[in-house]
Amino acid sequence: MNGGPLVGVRGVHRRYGSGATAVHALRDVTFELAAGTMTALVGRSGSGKTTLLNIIGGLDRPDSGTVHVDGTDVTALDEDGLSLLRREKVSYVFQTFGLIPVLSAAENVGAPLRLARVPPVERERRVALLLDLVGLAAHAEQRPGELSGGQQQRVAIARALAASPRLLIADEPTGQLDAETGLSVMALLRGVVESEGVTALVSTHDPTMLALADRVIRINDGQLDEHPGIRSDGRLDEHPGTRSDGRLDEHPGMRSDGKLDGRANGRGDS
Amino acid sequence: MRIPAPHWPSVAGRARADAGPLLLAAVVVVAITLLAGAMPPLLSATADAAVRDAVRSSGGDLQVHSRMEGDDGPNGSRVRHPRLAEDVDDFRARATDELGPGLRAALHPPVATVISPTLKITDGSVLRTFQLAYVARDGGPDVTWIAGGPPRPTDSETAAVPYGAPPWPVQVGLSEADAAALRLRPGDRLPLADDQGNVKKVQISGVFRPRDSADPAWRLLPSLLSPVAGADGAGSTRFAGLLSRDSLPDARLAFGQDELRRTVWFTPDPARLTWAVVPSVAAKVVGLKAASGSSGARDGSLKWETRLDGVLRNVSAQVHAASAQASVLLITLLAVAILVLLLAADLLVHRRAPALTAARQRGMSLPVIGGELLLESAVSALLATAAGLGLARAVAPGVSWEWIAPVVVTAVAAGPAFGTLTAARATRDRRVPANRSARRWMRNTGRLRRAALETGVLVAASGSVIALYQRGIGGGVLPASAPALCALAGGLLLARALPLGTRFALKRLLRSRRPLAVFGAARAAATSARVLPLLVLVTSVALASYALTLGAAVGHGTAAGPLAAGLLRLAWVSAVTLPVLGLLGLALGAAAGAPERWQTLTRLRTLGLRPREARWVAAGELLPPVVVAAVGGPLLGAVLVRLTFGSLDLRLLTGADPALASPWWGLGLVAVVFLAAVAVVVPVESALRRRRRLSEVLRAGGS
Repeated sequence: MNGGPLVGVRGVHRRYGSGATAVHALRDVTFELAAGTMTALVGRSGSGKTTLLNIIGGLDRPDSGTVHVDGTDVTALDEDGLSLLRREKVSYVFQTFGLIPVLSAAENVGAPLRLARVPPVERERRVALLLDLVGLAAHAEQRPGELSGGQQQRVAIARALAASPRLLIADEPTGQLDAETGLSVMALLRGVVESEGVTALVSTHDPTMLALADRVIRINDGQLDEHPGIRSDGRLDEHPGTRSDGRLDEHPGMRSDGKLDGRANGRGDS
Repeated sequence: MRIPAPHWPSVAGRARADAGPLLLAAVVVVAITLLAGAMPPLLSATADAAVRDAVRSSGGDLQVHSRMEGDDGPNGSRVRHPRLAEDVDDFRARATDELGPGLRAALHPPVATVISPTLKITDGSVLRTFQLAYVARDGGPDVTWIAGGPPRPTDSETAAVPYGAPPWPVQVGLSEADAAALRLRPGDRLPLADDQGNVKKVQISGVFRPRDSADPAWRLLPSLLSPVAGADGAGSTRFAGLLSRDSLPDARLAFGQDELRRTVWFTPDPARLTWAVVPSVAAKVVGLKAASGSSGARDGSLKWETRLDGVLRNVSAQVHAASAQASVLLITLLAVAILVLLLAADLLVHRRAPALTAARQRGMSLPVIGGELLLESAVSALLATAAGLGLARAVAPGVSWEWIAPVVVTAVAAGPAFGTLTAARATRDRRVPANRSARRWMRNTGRLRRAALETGVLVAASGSVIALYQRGIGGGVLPASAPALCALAGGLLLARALPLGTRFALKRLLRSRRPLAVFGAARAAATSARVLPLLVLVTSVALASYALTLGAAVGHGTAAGPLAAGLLRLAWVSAVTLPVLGLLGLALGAAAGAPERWQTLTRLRTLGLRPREARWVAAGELLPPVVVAAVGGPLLGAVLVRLTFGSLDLRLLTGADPALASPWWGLGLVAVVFLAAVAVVVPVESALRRRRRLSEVLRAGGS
């Protein structure tokens, strides 16, 4: 844990449809996320994970309740305000990567910086740094179609970090990857939380990924159910693969200090 | 073997889900079948009118002359021939028989005339002339004698007249107007002499009034009804006296043997002289003239004189030219309509690809998939065709199937063909080879296929231009296709150039600080390789420019016949329809690319792109092909004009070589409309997409 709550969700309801056929995707969801942590959001398909991520990121609006991100009431923002929020504070990693096919890896990573009107020199420096961080410095000029799935997701993570967001939302980021590549991507996310100080909220189905999270939130039928294995300090308890200090143990691609070994990961999933 | 039946709920469901594109394709089929179905009958009706007008304005009467039989008697005398009028009737019947049934049906009943040389009235007045004339047709023309009576014989029926005898008396009747002008009454003698001063003894038998002064027979000799001023020179007045069947033999003896001119007149009946009978009529007239005896021959052969063949030849040349020019315009419409229908089919397949792929993967056979799609397209296309032909029948005197086949076949076959290919690809055991050289071979094969197709179009375009120069515009479908094929070829060249341009622009913009321009250029570069949408835009604008220029040239022509007016109308209809088809193509192309475009834009929205900025990026993607069409289209149209106008034979309709003045206001309007269309398409598309939540992209990646 690096600080106080960055995200505050209070009494959020979300219903799809109306009348007898209405589906209550979220029911009175309330929780907070501490800054600088990585939180895993788990639950069965249809439990409301994606709806919750969408509402926190401002891609959807709740029927009632409020969401605060870094002091901003997301539910009160208009479209332009939400765009600004996404530009400056919240970024996303998609299950389907969401890269722009015609742009190279470097240009994809630089896209948020272009929108933020970052000067070219600084933009190029930041892009190079991020590609190096995710182990794809050698693939900067390749287009998404020329990269493997794992490499594309790394580019997506680099792009999500480009504008130095406070909150990174990832919905099933390993959903289209094989187990080993998925684990390396999650390790990368874990690493950037440490190195960039970003707060990450990651939904996943895969229980083996939970070991990398500081905290696990289970959602069931639209209601929160905090993971029973979470300790009072928010760390996972007795989860295989985690050390006593809560860090991942002996995971390929992670250095002993918990930082990401980008080069190793870049080769691992190519 | 059991014949697999279509899955009717799937067929109906697909048609309901894609009602928009299907309806749009149907509208195109209705519009084009209306034009293509109505144009030939309208052109034929216009040609009929042109033939009628040409015959009315240029004359075209057929005249046949024949020397009268000799009337020499024994002992150096001439013998009165009492049955001379029957001879005239026989001559008229013989001439009518020679016409043949085709030509005879196109002519009014014949009128036979026997006319004397022009005589001078020697009463001291100046420049008054007189003719004796016998006029006969079946049953007329009728007259009423209001004073005196009809001319009678002046001697016995078979009197003989020695050569050198005094002038032989002859009676004539005068019309009221002539009698009043000459102040003559029945029984009076009219002092007459011929050019040599030989006196003629002509007595007035009576004064008549025509039963029908509008009888066409009188048209041949108007001086029989009233004095005609100026017929024999300035200041002169011509009169005429009517001979009867009884007095005609006396008139023969009153003049030298060959002085009376015996003629049968045939006047074309415009109501029955249609474009369809022109070739046979013209051929018969030429045949009659070829077999005609020499005018100097002193025998009883028929000597035909007419300008009808020349009139028909001129109007035929004009109709053929107008028909070929109309074909040029119609082919341009068909070409662009076919491209639009291909684009509509492409859009349908884009929308249906997942369902078709799933159906194939579930085991549905390709014939069943193709059959279901064919059923749908055949029903909609044939209904649209029927509607178009029905409308054509309402506005034209008939319908023609001649030109509609390409559009109907495309409308029926394109969707099923594209859909079946898409379904076939879903299960084709054709993986991307691991071997790099094999992958390169695959890429090169695809490029070669496209290059071969493009080369084919270029060769066809070149061939059509050569055919146009060698055979002229009336040389068939190939030369008439020259503008359309050249526009296609030009469009393909521009389609080759556009990706280079957009990639270059993207490369330059990547160094800039304008994110919207970068993203717009990136989208443009990603989609600029799509040939069909650009081809529709460029060819429609180029051919609309061509039609506008053609319309302006015909409109400025000096000779405004019905043919020219008809061609002018078709040119304006084409100049409006072609851009409308182009705009449909723009909408279809935009719709086909919309899912991918808005997927990218939604991804950019998650990076912080504002909604209005997204619209600018969308416009940035759509603008390059539209700009290429708006700028390149009119230029290509101008090239087509330079290339082909000289061979269109426009002078036959306009009366002179038409001035090649490009109607820049029209071309500018077309360009502006296309650019403005982007400003309409983007907000509409954005509004339609707004209903889909931005959040959908986070999980599925779709828009």
